[in-house]
Amino acid sequence: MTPTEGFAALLSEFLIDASERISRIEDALLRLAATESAKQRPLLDVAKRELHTIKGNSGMMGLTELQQLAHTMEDALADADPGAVDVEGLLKQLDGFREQLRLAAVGPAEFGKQPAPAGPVGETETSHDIAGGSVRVPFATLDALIDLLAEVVMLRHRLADAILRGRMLAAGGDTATRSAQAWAEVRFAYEALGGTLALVQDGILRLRMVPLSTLFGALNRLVYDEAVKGGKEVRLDTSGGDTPLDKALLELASDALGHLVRNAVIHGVERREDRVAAGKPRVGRIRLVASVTADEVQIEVADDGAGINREALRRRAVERGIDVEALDDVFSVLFLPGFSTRAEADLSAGRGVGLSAVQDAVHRRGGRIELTSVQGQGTSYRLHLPLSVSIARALLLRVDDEVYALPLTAVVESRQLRPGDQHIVNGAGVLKWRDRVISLLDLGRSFGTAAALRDEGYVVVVEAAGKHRGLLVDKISGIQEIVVKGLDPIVGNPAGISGSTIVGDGRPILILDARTLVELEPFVGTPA
Amino acid sequence: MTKKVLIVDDSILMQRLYDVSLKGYRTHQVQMLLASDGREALSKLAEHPDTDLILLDIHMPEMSGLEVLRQVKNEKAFRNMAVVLVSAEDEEADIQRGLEAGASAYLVKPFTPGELHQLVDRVLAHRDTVRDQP
Repeated sequence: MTPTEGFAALLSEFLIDASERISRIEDALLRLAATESAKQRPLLDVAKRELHTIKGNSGMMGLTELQQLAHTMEDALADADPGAVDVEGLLKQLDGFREQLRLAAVGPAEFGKQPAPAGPVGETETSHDIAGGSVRVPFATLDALIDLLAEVVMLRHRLADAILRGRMLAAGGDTATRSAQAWAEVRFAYEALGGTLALVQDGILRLRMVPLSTLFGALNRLVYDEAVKGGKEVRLDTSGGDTPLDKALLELASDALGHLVRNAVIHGVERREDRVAAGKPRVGRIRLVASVTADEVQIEVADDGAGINREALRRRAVERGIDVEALDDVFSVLFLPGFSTRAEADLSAGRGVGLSAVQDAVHRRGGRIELTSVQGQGTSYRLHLPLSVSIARALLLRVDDEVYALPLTAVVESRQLRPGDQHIVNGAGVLKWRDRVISLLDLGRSFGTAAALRDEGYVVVVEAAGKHRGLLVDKISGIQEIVVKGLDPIVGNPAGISGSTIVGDGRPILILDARTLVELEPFVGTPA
Repeated sequence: MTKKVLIVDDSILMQRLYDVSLKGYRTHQVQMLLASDGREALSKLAEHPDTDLILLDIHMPEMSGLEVLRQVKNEKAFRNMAVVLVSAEDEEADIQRGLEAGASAYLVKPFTPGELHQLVDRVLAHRDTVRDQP
């Protein structure tokens, strides 16, 4: 299957277009399955029209297999009687279509390129980025940015003029009033410029964002497939679809939400008979609600199903030799690798391995998952992801002569450390904090800039992967928004560091990685 | 002499394919106009009454290509425009209906750039001959 001569350059546009149309057809079919026959006609028409266009376009591109598939599906839909539509069969045909698109994408034009390796959950996105992924940006968005840019240029001139005027007035041995006026103008122009630059920054970072609704089609399909497989009736209600998600996190969010939604259908929602017997509506309901705060995106997946039986879970954990008492909450057992409350043969949910792998992947990218459940009523997962992988608000920390940036999302609390606050236990520094004892990490000692442990300064308590640690520093210089840059691969993966950034005076500084810092062995005694 | 060609198709990809195809057209210089539906098409024609050729997709939501064709043929100002109906189907009945409604030719998808060029040549040549007659 080779594209028509001359049209090959349009292949990626064709693939994107076809893929979007297929999603629309899938959406129409899924809706069809939940609609009464009298109202099905418009949905069938939507599907037919999209198929017709795909047929025409694939034919033009010379992709005859695709054209044929579209033709077959078009015929199947034309013959379909409302009320008796074989949704499952049609969805399978769509899957076949998607497979063909995938093959067309890696076809002759891409000969020699390796397909992205199937890494652990959420990993493959990076390889896509390296291969040069892209985002769609509406012209209106670009135009708005260009308008802002024009304003920046104008304000910069204004600032330059005001500074010049101020200088001239000062040179002319001017009165205090006129000079003050001039400097007020400088200040005004500077602030206006700052404000507009903030808007430009915001606008540019938004270019990386895609709406969460991008994932809803696939999640709807997932719910449908698993419900059919499990002989259940389940409905997925979504809201917050226009919540922005950094494109780099799209795949992670897709994998994580896929697992959580799948868990909800398979383990959460009960079978029809059981639901009715419990006085619940026959159709199980999964709510997906998304929202955004200053630093993160929160997505909740809540089912109205059976909830988790704490006692059964505790018993199972004890059976497996897990020290349940040491855990904050028995539910965290569910995030341990290989754990499952069902028979190991439950292949659909990946034998309970899923949650552990998902949580690891989420932690790796700076997010977390919370779980709450009420037996008999339902279970709710809450996924937290950083809003942007490119920019973050960070605490600037001074240790010896170095400045480091620590993303605020990891910070729980900071307080002064006075001599005597810290205790040495088993050779390591510890501190009484809230009603527990946390171990301290002297950053100067760990990073080799100091020979001795400091006994005063500030402690910044961080949390990552459920663990807490106190970072010992000399000073906290403030909060700043930083643009995150990864480290040059040549540097490798130094423990405790996740990237670098440039601060106001043009100096590059390192960004601390809370996730590895909570695991680091404190250096005590003579360094290696 | 530059020929004005209006493409009417609701698929942006198809519009791009026409664009790529016509870039290789050598017989005349072509100025391409685009419309995504019948209403936009008629409004573009009102702005460009000197349009020479319309490549009109039959299967469009809202106003069908056939309907657009009828309105074009009913409009005195558009009388000299040649209309080619484009369809993904090879239906005999549709072709007949289209030609009876005044289409100059019928183009069935898929077509190659070369096939498009030949068709445009034929249609424009025929039109010019007809127009030169008293």
